[in-house]
Amino acid sequence: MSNQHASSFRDPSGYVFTEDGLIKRSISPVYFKQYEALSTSGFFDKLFKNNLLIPHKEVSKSNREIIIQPEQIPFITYPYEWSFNQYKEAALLTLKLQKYSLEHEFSLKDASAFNITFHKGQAIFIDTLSFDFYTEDSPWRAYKQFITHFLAPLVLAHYHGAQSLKLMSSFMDGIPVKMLASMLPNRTKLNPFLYSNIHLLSKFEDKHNEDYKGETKSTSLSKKALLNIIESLYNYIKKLSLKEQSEWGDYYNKTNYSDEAFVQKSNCIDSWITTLNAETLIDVGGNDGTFIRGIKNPLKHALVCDIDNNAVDFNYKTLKTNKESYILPFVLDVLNPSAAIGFQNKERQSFIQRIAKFAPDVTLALAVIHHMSLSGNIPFDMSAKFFATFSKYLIIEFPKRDDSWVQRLLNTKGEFKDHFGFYSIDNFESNYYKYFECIEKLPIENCDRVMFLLKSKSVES
Amino acid sequence: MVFLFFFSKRLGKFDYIYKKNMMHFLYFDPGLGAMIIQAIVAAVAGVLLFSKNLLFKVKVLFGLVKSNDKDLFDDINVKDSDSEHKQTTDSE
Repeated sequence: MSNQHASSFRDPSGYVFTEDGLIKRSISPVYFKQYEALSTSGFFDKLFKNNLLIPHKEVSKSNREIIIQPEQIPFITYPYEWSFNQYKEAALLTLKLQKYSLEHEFSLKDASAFNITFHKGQAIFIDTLSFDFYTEDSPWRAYKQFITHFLAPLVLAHYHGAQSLKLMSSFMDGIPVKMLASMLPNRTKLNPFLYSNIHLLSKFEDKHNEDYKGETKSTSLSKKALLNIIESLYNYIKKLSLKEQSEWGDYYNKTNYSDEAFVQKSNCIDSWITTLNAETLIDVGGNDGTFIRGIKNPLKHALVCDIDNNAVDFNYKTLKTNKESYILPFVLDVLNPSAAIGFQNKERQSFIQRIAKFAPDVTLALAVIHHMSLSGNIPFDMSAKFFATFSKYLIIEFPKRDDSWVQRLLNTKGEFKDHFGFYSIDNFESNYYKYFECIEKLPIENCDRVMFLLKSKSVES
Repeated sequence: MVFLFFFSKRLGKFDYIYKKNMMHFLYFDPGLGAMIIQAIVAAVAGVLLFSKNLLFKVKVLFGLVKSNDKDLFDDINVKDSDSEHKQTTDSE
């Protein structure tokens, strides 16, 4: 129990633990019946074959516990790091699983968004013990959880923008129904779907939340009725879209890059990655993944993060269309990376903890340093120290002071423009060379940008 | 909505079933209101699905159905044929 995962304590059916660096799952006798039924009926196998549930193999079996080892996932992303369509896919996957479960006399006993992560270019369910036997004529006990974990953030994103998805980092147990109802426009009360699933739910929850006697009364509900709920949720969510357009969507069209400079930058990254023979990398501020797709060297895993939900979403849609399983896009504000949250601040790991464990071969920071230094006021010394913890190699692009984007950022500073006198290539190099040694430096022709290939002095291979 | 309101009142009075055994393994609060309300949600969903299917049939009749090739996500059903799965993984 000592190496039990900090987030795995709620469900009495079992728990997740690490052994020799591998994630494993212990199943308690209380869940043996369900586990046997799911294994022998072919239920698990079907879900494995359809890439809906993380595959596992049985490691040991005794009267006291069964231990299974799931396929290992190199980097876990959390709901508050997903783009709109990633979130949608996670919601649809949960509903798909619930429908399939009901058809086979099982039911999902919880519908937490944290039961899902992204792996090999798609959403995958990772909580193997979430399936329970279906009780005839009973409602779905995870219905409210589904609404607060999935429908709530998605509907809020639809009406108020993709930033709403970040609310999940504050409300780990889902967005409170009353708050959700109050945040929706009044006209949503005229929509029968939203009225019944959100506004009426909020009223009912309000009315019944003071029943302290613990006498659970419930309504009887046929399976057909339950399937109707699942299907109507699926249809509504599948159609949901964002109203806003991407602010970065046409980024590459409005930069000062000429076609030649763009190609030179792309070739430079490709040749450095090939020289290093890198298999894993993270692209910080990677926009829609354009430069990752320009790398010809085969990669095992490429994390591409950006602050802009729409750019991440665009990247995700592209990888779905191209069926690229090695790219994992997610939303990340480099000035405020995802924190460790939950009980004892340990249930969900911080981005820093996860990237340290993932330990990519290379970090890419392309056209991001001027935003960190000028918009975020991060001194070079601090950003260098930050990147030095990520990986052994850093490929960083430095836009010089004369670069039009840098000038634009400086101009927004008004009379404080002089306080940013530190922003120069000499200053950049002297600070970064404290933590890195320079392996190669390549100015991009016809543009005020310089590419650096740096090697960390502290990180061992 | 008026109908729904009255329906919910009626449901609140007559349709409760005592089901204590259901809560045996619960490790989070499913919400009492959320358990009761599902009958109404299901009724609304039934009407919506029925009208959607009806509309679809009318569209088919008039040849207005568009191809959904551009959909990012497939439908709710888990595919039964293993060969379909094989095709997707092969092309990855």
